[in-house]
Amino acid sequence: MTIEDFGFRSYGGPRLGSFPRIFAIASMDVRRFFRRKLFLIFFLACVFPAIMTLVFVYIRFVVIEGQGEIAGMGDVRALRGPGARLFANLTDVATTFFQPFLSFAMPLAVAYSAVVGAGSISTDRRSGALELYFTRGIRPSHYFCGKWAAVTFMICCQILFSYLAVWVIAVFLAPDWGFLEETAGFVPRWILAQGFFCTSLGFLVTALSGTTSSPRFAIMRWFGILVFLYALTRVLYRQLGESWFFIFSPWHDLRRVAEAIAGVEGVRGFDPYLALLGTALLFALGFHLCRKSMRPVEVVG
Amino acid sequence: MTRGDLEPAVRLEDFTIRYGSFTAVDGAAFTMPRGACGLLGKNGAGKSSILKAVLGLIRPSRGRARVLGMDALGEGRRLRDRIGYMAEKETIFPGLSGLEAVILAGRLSGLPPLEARQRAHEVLFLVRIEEERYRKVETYSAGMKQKIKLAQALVHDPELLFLDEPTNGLDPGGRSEILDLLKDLVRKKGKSLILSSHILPDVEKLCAHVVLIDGGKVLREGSIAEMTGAAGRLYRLRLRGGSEVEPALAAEGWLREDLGNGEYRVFLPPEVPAERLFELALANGAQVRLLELERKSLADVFLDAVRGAEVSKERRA
Repeated sequence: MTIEDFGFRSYGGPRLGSFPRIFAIASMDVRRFFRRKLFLIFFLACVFPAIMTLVFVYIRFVVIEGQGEIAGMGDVRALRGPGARLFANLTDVATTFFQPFLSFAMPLAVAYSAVVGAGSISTDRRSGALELYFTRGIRPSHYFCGKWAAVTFMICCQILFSYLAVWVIAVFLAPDWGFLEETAGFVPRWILAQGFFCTSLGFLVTALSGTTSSPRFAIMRWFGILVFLYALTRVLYRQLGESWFFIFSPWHDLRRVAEAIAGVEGVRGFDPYLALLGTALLFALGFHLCRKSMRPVEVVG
Repeated sequence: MTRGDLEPAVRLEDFTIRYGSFTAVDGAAFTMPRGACGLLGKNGAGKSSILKAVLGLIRPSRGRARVLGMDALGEGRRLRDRIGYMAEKETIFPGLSGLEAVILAGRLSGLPPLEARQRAHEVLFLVRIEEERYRKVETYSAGMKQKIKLAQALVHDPELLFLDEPTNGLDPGGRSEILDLLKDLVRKKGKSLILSSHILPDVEKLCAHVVLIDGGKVLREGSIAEMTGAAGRLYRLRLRGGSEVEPALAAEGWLREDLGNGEYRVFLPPEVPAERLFELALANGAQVRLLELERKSLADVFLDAVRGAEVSKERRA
């Protein structure tokens, strides 16, 4: 076998900077996930709240308003017959869209993030891929950012893009532009809130993934930390009646900050600034874990 | 040609690496010229630490490392774009096909997406992975995984290849193919490579220069031809008759060893042609029955160097 047979070429073109390399890591990760059939089934299960919201939107705008039985939002309460209960609470747009998000999509996102994020770095560590990454022209921080971006994108697919798609469909299903005018002020804040939630969740689960070479162990750690701290802070709150204990629960911190961004009333009077402080502490802890667990010297050679 | 092109592939100067109280590399200083070089040493000799230094991933306790004319530590990231690395252990991008893995390797080295795809196909043809490139790497045989690792190391057209046991797990045919390919890369494409291998015949076949290390210290460095005696200085001479030959050899001042039964091992200085031995034998009434270049194998050289180091260590102790 000689080189001439196959034409090995020299490359004299430009080398791209850091961002395209981070993008390459993220896009390859996303592609790897979305072509697994089991993952697609799980993904569909996790976007079920968005699918349900779409059904509500369809019933409200096409079935009810299309038949002329109801003119505006307030009249939903006056509905009689099947579907009345479903729509009884849909008194304002924020509740219509944010309530399913808070009640179903956000808790589901925790399970979903464990599946997409816990194996993110641990699988690479197990298969020796970290050695391949770190001996290329990237820094460990680039590698982490690529992984984080991939996990965040996949969480966004579940609770941000799916809801955004429902909102766009609702805008066009509505009989007039009233729905758009009504929601135009709320939706940007809602996107920001969900974006914050996805990014933070993605960061934490990716950082935790870097601490082990077993994806299963990473999932157990993720749920262990979340569930344990959730339960502990709730018990403390019930016993002592102090809401600031929630600062120690990542779930409460992320959710409260997201609620504050979206302008939704928070639960149990937990101060959003305290939640923000808790989130900052979580990020600091995540950075520390990353620095400690992903030193190239430890994984190469 | 830039100034960097004239620089040696690797140059370590007074290079010391310590992990806590343990000294992994102790004052190593060597130069690996462009072309194919071997890095030989037992397990724990300090090869991995040197590798990390070459890749710009490790800060030495003392000394410095220059690779392709660049400061390995200060310009590590830029340097790694010019180096191809093939690890010894199994390293794969999980869940990707062979083609995707090579594309990703190219893109991580800064190739534009389209170029990375095109070059990935080319290097996969080069290492003879054809339809299998669309299968997941996890399903590959050990030999195919080696080839994928080599393709990943080559895809971004590096100037220097660092290959750690590249022929592990390959059948004789595959091994020969890979060695021929690497030889072509060095001779026809002007690539440099550093080969770390325990398979010494591979090193002898491919490399012109070797560095022998043990216990974190450089035992020997130089061209294989010089080390093994293939440079033409060491001869095995068998004579019949002529008892005056021995004093004549001594009178010439050449290093020699009497092996008994009229056999000698003679070191000739570079300026002395081998014909001089015939002349000497003739002048002293002896008949030359055998005159051959004596070569040590690289394994002999390596073992001699290790033994020599152990003996001098014992003496010092």
